[in-house]
Amino acid sequence: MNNTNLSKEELLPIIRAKLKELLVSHLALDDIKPEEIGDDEPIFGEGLGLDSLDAVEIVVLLQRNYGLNIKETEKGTEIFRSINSLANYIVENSSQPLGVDSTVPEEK
Amino acid sequence: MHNNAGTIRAVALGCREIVPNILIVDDGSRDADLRTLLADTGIPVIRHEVNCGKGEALLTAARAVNERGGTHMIAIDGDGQHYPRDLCAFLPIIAEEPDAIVIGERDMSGPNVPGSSRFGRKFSDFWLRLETGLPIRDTQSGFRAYPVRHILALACAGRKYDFEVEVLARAAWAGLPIRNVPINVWYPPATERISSFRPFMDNLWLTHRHVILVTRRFLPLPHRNLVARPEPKKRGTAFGFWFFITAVRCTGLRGAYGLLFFVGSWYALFDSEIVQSALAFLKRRFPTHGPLRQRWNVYQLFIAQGRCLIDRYYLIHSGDRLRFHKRGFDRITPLLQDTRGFLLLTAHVGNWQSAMVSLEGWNKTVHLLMRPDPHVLRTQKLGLHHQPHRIRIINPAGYLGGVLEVLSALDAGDIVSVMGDRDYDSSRKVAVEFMGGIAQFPCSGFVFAHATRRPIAVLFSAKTGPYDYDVLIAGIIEPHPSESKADFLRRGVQEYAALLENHLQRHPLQCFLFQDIWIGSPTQPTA
Repeated sequence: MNNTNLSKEELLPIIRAKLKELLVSHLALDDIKPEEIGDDEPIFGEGLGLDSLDAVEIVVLLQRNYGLNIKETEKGTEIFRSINSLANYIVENSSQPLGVDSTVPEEK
Repeated sequence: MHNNAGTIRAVALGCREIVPNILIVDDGSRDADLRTLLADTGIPVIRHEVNCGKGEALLTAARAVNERGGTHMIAIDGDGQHYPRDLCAFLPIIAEEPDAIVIGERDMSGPNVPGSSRFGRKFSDFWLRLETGLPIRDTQSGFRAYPVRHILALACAGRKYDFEVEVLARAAWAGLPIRNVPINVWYPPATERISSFRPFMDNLWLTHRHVILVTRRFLPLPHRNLVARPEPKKRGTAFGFWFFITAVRCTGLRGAYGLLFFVGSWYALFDSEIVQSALAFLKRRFPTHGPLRQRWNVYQLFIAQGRCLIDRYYLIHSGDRLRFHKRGFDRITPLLQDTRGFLLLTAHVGNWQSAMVSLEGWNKTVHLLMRPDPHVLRTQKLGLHHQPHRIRIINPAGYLGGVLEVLSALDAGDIVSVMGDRDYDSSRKVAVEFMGGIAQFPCSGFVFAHATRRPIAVLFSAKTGPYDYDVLIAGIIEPHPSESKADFLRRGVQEYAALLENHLQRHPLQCFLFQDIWIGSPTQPTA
């Protein structure tokens, strides 16, 4: 549903990079650089080591930056698996313009 | 074994054909010297000079096995009623579930089985069912496999035959699995039988033990877990529900309260684990009280919690005389009028479950973030609750700790209720000043509030009379628009702790925290 001229394949790397930046800046992942996060690394538990309270932040980030409301737990398991799955979900479902530099609201 | 010289040699040698390490505990036998009798076999014999009881003998064996580096022991009676070849049936179960107690379930269809044994077994299984809620079979069988470290950690009081039932109840409470395996049993004709079981005295001891265990079961206090378990078993299941409803029906609320005198005294006097957990709070609230006065406080705390529990049953049953006085509810009027949701932060003080009745008439659904409580579910199913407002449960053991459900409930304009003083698990904590020390509080409610920018209403309750409760909205804690998460967590949790401290100044003996949440004094704060 994106309204830019970029194709899905072109958008995905941009979204992935953006997501990594958002995670690092909002989730106290101070010792990790965005580019160090693997596209297929599990976000919760092992992998990035985030817990369920971090999920609160991620859900809110998705809401603020991409206008996405993830309500169904069944889908959640799939969506929150990795950066890749999140990016795919965003590209397929976001109601906001993607690819252009969507500024993140400044807050720490 | 005790006075089984005639059979012990055959039993011991039979066992050694199956497992290499055999240990005999001679519990003060007077019929022969087992050490001489078994000298040629090389099997070690530990002797109690006087007869201490079967429980003591089993503990002696467990200590000895533990010292020798063993992890499990299988107890077999020395009188020849058990067949050593049945040991083979235990081994795979021990390997598969090392934390389990495995009970050899006797086939009692054979000849010579005394009717009293059949009855005794059924009766004992019935007691254990009451005590644990589990259908454990053949709870009097002495042929069992024990994980020794766990058995030693269970702190059983029984030292005679009562040990064998007590150990099962305490193991079940501690989360150890209990398994059955079929075994054969040989009962000699009545004239040849040598049993150390004294029908009158031992049955008296057993009954005494069962009464203690049953009362312990219905006291809603935590048990120590020896193993991690996925879903902690709530005490007070179907039977507890029935028991209290019956007590309230037969004797009224005051009569049911009367039962608490015995239960409360027993635990305040003898259950040091629970007393310690209560003292963590009491020592801070009443620093000048001496040990005796503190015991009295502990007792009153237990009685108060028992009353709150009985009130919950009463409320479900009819509850027509209970009155809930709302205080400070004007604070949440604006929140209720808002189309957006908000958070309710409660604590283990007073009777928070029953306080939910006061939410009657609210136009919002309340979601409780808690492990499903069988009582709540049952009452909803039976339609017994006179709680017309909607209550849902979000299970924190679900995917991502129920976070997605919490957020969508807030998004839909509903209320999410979270415990603020102690948590279901070891999730993140924030350390703040509380009752003259630094205490750790779970911060999940504050994380939700900050992420969604929704306010938190702090709700406490207190029993103020036989039929009266105060339900108090103690304050509203709201994240400022520009406040960072870390700042809000620190400020919010501190405000909550101050409200709780204030509430506990007025109602100190209704603090059912039962956990030492303090990690230091204010002079040495921990990050």
